Amino acid sequence: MKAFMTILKIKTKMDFRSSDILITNYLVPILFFLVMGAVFTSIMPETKNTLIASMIVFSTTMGATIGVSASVNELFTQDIRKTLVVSKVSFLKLIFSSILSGIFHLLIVSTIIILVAPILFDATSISNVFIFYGRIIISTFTIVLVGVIIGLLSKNTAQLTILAQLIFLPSMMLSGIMFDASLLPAILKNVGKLLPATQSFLLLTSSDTYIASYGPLLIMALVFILLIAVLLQRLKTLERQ
Amino acid sequence: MIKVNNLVKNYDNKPVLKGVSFEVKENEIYALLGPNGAGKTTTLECIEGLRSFDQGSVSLANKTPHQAISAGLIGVQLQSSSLFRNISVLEAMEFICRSQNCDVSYDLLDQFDLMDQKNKKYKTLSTGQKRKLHLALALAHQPKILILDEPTAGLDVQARATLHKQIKQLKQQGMTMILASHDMSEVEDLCDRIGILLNGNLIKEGTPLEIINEVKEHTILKIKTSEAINYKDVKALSFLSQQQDYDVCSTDNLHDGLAMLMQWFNEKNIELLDLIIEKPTLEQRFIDIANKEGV
Repeated sequence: MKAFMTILKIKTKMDFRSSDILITNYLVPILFFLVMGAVFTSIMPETKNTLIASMIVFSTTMGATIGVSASVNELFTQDIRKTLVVSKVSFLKLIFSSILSGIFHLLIVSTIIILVAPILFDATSISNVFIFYGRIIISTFTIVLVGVIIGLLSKNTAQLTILAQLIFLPSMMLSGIMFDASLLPAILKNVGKLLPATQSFLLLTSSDTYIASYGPLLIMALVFILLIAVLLQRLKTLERQ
Repeated sequence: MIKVNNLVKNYDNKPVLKGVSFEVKENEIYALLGPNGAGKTTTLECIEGLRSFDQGSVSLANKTPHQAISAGLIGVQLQSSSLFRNISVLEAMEFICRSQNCDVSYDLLDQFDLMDQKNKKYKTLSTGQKRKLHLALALAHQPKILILDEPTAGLDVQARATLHKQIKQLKQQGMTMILASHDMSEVEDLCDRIGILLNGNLIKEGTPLEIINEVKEHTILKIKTSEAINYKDVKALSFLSQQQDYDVCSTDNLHDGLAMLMQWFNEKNIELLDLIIEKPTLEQRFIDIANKEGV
């Protein structure tokens, strides 16, 4: 536990120092929120009801697929990986601390959006803080897992960029955060449902309090966790060939 | 302490190690010497448990490499050791010590002159500082065996000398070390025994002196005398050439050659003006061996 707490503390600090994380988790999402918040609410006043949810989904998707993925990828580059193995550093603890650190940073941005949106854009405030934060945590957790998978799958920066964009761009276009997903052709609507961003947006805008509304994201998270376990095992095997 | 027996490793059916065997005794510094691609790093990575091997066995204090890592028996400085760009020196020490389940070794940072850099980020450290940090990290859990791959590669003269001093101190403290290098002077200066690795074969083993002295005709004598000499009369010497005022000869037995030469000078009343003895270096010897093996 002591080892894990040290790794978590250091990982969170490293992420605060990372210019990549600063840009992808903070600067771009906040800038996007400020610009798009003004645009959306002026041309489509009804978006005030979903502005907080859509901007949170945008921020978390960008932070996770582009920021967290790069940060995880750096942790496991070949030279560092070898150093970690001979130093008895647990890959699992490192991944877990990356997930927690990612969630922590993305929650900060989400909180900024929650606090600022009603003041600047007259966005509808959240009604139940606890339930809404619970939903944000589940959504962010699932999306961060996607970032971890991208980071573990990519062998180099080029692959990382391609994979991140392959998830990020469809998430923006098909999840309903930019425009109403019901306007999409059926096939794209169905593809969109497979994206964590879509399910997150549905959860954050849902007035349902049934536990079943959490189902799709929880199932996705479970699948992603299994995939991460397989990828970690693959990393260990690759090392010894 | 370290036993490597008949180690065979293939990469894509291409043999890299072809049955390497050697032993490193307790408190010994053993060097694997060889050109690039000889198999030094692969051998070390098999010992470190980073690489599987196709045949043979490796034991460290009667444990497998993985058991040895788990038991904290070995410290490793890799040729390409690296860490996270944004981690500070102090955090790196905390990170590794906690992972190794030992107390944080601030003393080591002091010992390796890294305390002044404790808040510096890894990405801003010089190559020498990174090497020192990785050595300090490798020693953090007080291992019994230290494995160093090209420990001074890329270091300037001063940093190299400092690192050599620290390696010698570790030996005095009882550490067993194995290192890979292609720096002959480093190996000659630091190591008790050497194994020469060429094309995946360990073709020679011994102390630096044993390996140097194996071919004795390489001891060169440069002799300057008051008058010309016919070296046919001095049987222990072979005349090679004349360089400026010096006669260049070689001998396969320095002691006998010199004794005979001095006696002959006395008998003939020849005055010796200057004598330069050039012992063969490990580098020359290594080149000879490599040439002989067709490398």
